[in-house]
Amino acid sequence: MGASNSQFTEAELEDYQELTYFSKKEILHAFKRFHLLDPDAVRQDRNVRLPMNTILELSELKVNPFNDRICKVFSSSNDGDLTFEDFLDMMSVFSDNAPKGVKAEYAFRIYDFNEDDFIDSADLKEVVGRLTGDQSLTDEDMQQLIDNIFEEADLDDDESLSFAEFEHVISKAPDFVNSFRFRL
Amino acid sequence: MAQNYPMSTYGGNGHGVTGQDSTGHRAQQQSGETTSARNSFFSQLPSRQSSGGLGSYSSSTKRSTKKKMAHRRTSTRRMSGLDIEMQKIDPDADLSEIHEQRAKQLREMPAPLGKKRELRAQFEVATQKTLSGCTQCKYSMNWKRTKERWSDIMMQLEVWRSSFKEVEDQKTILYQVLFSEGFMELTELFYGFYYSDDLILEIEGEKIKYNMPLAYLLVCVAYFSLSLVLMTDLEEERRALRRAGRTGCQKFGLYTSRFIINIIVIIILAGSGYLIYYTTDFALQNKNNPVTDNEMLLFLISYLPSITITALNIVVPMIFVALIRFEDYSPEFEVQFTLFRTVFLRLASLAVLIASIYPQIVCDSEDQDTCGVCQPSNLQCWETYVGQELYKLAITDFFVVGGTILFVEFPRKFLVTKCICGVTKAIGQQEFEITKNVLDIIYSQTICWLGAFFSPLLPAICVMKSFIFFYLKKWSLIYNFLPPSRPYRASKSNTFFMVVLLIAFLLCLLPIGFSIMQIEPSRACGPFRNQTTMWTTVTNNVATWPQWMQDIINFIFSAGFAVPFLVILCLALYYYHSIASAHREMVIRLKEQLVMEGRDKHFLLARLQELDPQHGKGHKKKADRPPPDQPGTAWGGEMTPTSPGMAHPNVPLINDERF
Repeated sequence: MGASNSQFTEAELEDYQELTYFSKKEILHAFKRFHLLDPDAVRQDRNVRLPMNTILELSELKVNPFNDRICKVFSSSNDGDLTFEDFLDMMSVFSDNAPKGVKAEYAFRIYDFNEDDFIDSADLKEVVGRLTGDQSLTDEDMQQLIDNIFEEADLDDDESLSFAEFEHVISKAPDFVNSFRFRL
Repeated sequence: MAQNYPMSTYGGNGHGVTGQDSTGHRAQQQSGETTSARNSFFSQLPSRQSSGGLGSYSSSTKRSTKKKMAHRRTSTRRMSGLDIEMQKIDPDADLSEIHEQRAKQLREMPAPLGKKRELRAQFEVATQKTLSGCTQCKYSMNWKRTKERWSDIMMQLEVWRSSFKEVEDQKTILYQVLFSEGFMELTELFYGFYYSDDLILEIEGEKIKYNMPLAYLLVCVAYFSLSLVLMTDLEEERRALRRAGRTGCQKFGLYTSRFIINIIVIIILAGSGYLIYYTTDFALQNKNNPVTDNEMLLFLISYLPSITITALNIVVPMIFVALIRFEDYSPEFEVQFTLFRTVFLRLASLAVLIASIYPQIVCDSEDQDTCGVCQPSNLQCWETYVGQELYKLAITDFFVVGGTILFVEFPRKFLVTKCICGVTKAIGQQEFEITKNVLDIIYSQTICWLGAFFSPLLPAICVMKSFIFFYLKKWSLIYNFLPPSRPYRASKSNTFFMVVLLIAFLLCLLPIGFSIMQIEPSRACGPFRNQTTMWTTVTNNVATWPQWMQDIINFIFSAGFAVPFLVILCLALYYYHSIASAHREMVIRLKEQLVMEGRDKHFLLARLQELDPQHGKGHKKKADRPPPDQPGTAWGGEMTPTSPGMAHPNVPLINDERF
């Protein structure tokens, strides 16, 4: 048993294994990644809540335009700071084994910037703005794009996407599962 | 008509549970309402469908209360589902199954770990009694552990896992390619080496006959079947993608320019085709009657067709990219269309190569000399010649791709980063074009398939080549390139690439199948040297089988079997096609229904406003909201949380909720 193994008892590992999509080995690996983010703090207290800025150092999140949203969504304190369990949760949802439905649920929350449980045009603007980065669209193009999205996805014509509508759109994008994932 | 309100359809409209619950509450408070007013009201609904009206109502109610419910909804939805499921589990059921089910539900819940743990604890108390003294569990646990260990091992074995992790965005998984060697004509590498006599092996006194020609054929069949299986596996996972293309006004001038550019493209393609034909012909003529003694020149000429094809593959796509800018397509279509033209060029160039070789290898009856040796072009062994050509192509491809990385991409990066002057700044760092790189691999694979029959070791060489490619490209990607500025291309093109690969595969099968079934094999070399066609081996072999097996085979290939079989296939195809179109129809219907619900909602909101002057102002915005093609940002944000007006007795609808 290596140094990182001794961090968890067998029972703890089984517990995590049951609640996530990971094997024990993967859980230990996830812990290693968590540990590397701030070795000192994690060594002192395994359940330390690492601030969002530290989490964002993770290579998968570094360049992700939605990295702050991802942290917030998975943070049990709702401010973007993650404990190891939150972190494990995140890695589990982004893993290959997590089913589409679970991924879609979290994707919906990530894109729901104002957290009103609907993706409305303000949310979409933010999403598109973050995706296009520097080469942002003109207001006209943006409006056109958002209209197109609603035309395609907003089935009940209320100018916002509910989770069901979002899930429906996702079902038409077979690649969603592949893009919504990290390799551990 | 409008008096029936089928509640069962109501739950399925896709709106959250909480919306229904909250309205349901109010519904119970207001349950003393008269129904007649309600019924007449319903008949006014635009959709005149009770379920539609209810559905839209619930969604609008939900919107009004959404601020309050925002955090509750998502977690309640699944959690309440979980409770129900947990109760449903039969206590007599297999305990390990219960475990599995529960674990699955827990994992699927979109809740933090802590919350899941709590729920699990609740569940465990409920089932604790039944869990003790379970012997079955032991076995299932052991099995589970074995499975875990296995998946751990598989994870470590997965090729390039760590590399892919490093490169992450790079999803060009189809690295299984080719490469081969020219001057070793009489080696296992090429067709010509293989002999036609049966190999007799003596094992413990028993003689085992190894039928070389048959084995040769069967190995090729197995190879291609395996390729197909691997490919379709991947394909199944990627269904057609919808294109969210833009529509804009296009003018006459645009169409003219597009027409002209398409003509230019066709001319370029035709020119490329002729160039390939010409060089192939020239190289072959030269092989028979060398025009020079210079060995270096001879070597170059023998490689001329390959070099031409590879050069065209580099230069022509650049022209296409330059040309398409004038055609003013949407960015996405631009990419797809250029890609289509490039793919066409690549596949067509290989087709032209094969077509140029073909006249050289078939025998006109006049060409046959007394020994029956076909010598239209002094090709003693045409199979080896074809293998050599494809081998050269593979080699050239390898050196060009490798050379581009080492002598173009690397120096460019070096210059741009080290030397800060005007020119280099203008060039800038290059972006990694996933499409181009995937095409490289597909092309490589196509050559491999095409050459596999005539040069049996070509696939092995391809595997080596792909390994080298992979690490070269990975290095180049990490050190030389910027990430692409249009990240969406990679995932959108996935299906496209799979289709291209499939087409390439089928195109490869055509000439190979044709040469097996129709063309007379060389008399001077190869395992089929004594036969009229390579297929004869199979028929001859079948003739030695027991009579009953022959009868079966004959039956399968007879019209009596083939025709009914085809008919059944067609029927099955028709059946699935009908089912698919029925589903499509259903989807359209449901979509229409949803739109009607949306209209109902607008209508109801308007009525709500009329009936409730106190809150009319607050709702006016929503009710008079313009149709959805105009921006309606006010719609989302500022709705007042559940107002008493929503439950006003004058609004009959609300009470309908729980009827």
